[in-house]
Amino acid sequence: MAIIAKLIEGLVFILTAGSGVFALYMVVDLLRLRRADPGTAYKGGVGQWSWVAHRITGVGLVAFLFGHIVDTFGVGFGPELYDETIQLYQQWWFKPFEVLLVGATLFHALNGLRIILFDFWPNLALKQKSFAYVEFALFIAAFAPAAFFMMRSAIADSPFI
Amino acid sequence: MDVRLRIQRFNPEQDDGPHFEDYTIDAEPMDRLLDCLHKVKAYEDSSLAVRRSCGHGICGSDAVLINGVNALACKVLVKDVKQPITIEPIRGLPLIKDLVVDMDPFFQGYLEVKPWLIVDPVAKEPERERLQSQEERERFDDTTKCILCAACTTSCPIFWSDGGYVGPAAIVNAHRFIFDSRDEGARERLEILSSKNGAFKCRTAFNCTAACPRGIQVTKAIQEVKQAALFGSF
Repeated sequence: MAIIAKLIEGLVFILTAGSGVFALYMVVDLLRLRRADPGTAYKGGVGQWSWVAHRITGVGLVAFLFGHIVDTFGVGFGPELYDETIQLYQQWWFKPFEVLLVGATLFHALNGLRIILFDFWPNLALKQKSFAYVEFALFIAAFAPAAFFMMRSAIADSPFI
Repeated sequence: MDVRLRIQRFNPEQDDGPHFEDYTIDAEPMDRLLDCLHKVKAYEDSSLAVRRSCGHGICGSDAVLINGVNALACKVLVKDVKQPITIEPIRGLPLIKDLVVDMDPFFQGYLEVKPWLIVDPVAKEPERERLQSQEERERFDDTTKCILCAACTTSCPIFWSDGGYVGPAAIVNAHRFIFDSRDEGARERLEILSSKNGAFKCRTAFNCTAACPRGIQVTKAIQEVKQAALFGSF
């Protein structure tokens, strides 16, 4: 049982870390754009960077969902295995990843709503920058307290303090 | 004053890939970047390939990437950009030489949306002008301004990664006819723009709107086309 739990844990870890590496690869690939191009990244505005962040968080969330399906799959082998697998999420060093997960979910959701607004009311596109700034403000207002409380418990559980 | 330029050079007969070369020329703050490119070509290196025609922001030949942003070299003044001024060819189209790219894929996307007046020639044998009210003309006024410089299409991250996408310029020109009361080809065009490579590839990054030298609200036009395709509202 313990071996299966470790295997599932490993798979979850590989998927989580892999999504991070893939997300980074996407940034590099998106911004270099053409392989033969020695030039710099295109200096687009908030729209371009929101789009890049939307892609990265989207890929990251999908990868996490795969991992999450794998760990929930453990329930099929009984509660002991599931509890053991889910221990991974309780580790103090895993908390920063959870904070990232909260951030990615929040950003992806808020940015998605902003894009949907333009889809239904094209005139709002004229004020796109204001909408982006409102979105960032909402994001920080929701993410900062969440990150603070999650990290506080992680720091309290860490062996260094 | 001394103006420092970093220009991307590529000679397909000699170079393996593009590289940058630095030039320092004498220019005035009110000179345009096109004047600077002319000076480089006239006094520094006559082999520099630059495309330009009218030099007054109407023909749309000299769209280049200036300090990381698409613009017409003839509409940007030396005093308005930070030095050294980096000039690269527009992205997403095959590079031919130095600042010249192959515009064929761009015009192919443009032609895909049938950017001409479509009317039933039999039912509507023209006996007089096709009249239109001021409001009807106003509806598509913004998108009539397009000069087909490709600054919008080559600033689009989707177009960079997928050359099959018709691009913002093609959708802007489709908008110009879809919302024209005299035109009868809206359904035909919306069918094309509802396909895989059509308007729904737009991810609203707004680079096109910022890049347009004519100030067209490109993203708004694309969103209106998407709505027309979804709800048949035109």
